[in-house]
Amino acid sequence: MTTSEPPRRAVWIVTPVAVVMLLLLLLFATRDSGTGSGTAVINKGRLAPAIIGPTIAGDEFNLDDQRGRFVVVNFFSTTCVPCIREHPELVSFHEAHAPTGFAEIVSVAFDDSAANVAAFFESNGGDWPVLAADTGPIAVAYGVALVPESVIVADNGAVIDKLIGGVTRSQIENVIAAYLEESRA
Amino acid sequence: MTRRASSPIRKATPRRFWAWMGVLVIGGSAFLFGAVDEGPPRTDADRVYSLANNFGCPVCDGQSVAESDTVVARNIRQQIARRVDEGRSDEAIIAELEAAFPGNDYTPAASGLSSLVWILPVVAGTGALAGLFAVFRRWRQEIELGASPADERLVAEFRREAQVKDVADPDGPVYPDEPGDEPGDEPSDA
Repeated sequence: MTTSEPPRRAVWIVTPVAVVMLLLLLLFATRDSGTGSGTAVINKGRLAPAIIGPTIAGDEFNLDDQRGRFVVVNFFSTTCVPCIREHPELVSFHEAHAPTGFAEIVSVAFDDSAANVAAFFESNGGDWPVLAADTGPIAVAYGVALVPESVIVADNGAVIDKLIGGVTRSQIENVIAAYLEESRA
Repeated sequence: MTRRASSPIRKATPRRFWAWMGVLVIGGSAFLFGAVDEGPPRTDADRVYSLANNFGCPVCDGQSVAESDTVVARNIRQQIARRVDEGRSDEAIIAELEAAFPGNDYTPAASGLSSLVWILPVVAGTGALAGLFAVFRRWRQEIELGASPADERLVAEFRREAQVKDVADPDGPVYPDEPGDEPGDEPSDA
């Protein structure tokens, strides 16, 4: 009788501990790690966060003024290699669609100086509004963690998609075409 | 079969019990106060640091926004400071950041499976306290076990009977007072 008591007691102690450990294991195994992706498609289908501020050309830019045309909000840095690589694609897209009023591009510098940005556009081309001063709040509002990232905004001001990494002209055109097709359906 | 003497325990229990209860109440209150009380009103800088410390850097490995020096972490810190200046609540600020950078809020949700993070420590702590209480109680009972007057009377009576039998039957069994009392006897567990 007495010899069976310690094992039974051990079972009563070990079982709840094991259950608690299993629950903790289950909890931690099913949780995301502390590092988030930072690549979420923010506010997809909802109104794009406001972009208001001076451009490097000295004009005042307001995203709301672009209603009626598609807008590519491009976050970039002059020191980022994928940004440099995607720039000709953006120039090509702009040359094809800006003159007709179908689409516009606005570039938002990510931790870069206005002087560097101006020099970059001068040597690489591109004639669209570029914001370089106090752009941190805009980057946070759009959930930009790394560059390049591009957010495609519809003609009604809603976010269509967010493209992570360098983009191509055809990629942007495909996103807009898919949106237009969905809208018609 | 061992009989537990109840009277000595009954006499000793209330004082010790209430002493332990006092220790538990004071300790528990201090713990609760320390955990719940936020102290004097925090400054805006304290709030900014606290919020930044509870939000993960989206591009770092296990670092909070407060610890990281990446561009995005700096941007988020500045955004938190702006929102605090505007008078937004902590919940509103975190909700805004979580919408922009999902999955980086370090504060576990109070519902669903994540609520176990809050519940399990309380359950484990309560179980541990109950276990300690049970162990201490058993130790105290084992230490304080003693013969009651009734037990002593029984033993005296038994010894008297044994002596009478010994006189009447010298070849009968011998019941020494303690092992080893009789010359030449070795104490034995048997």
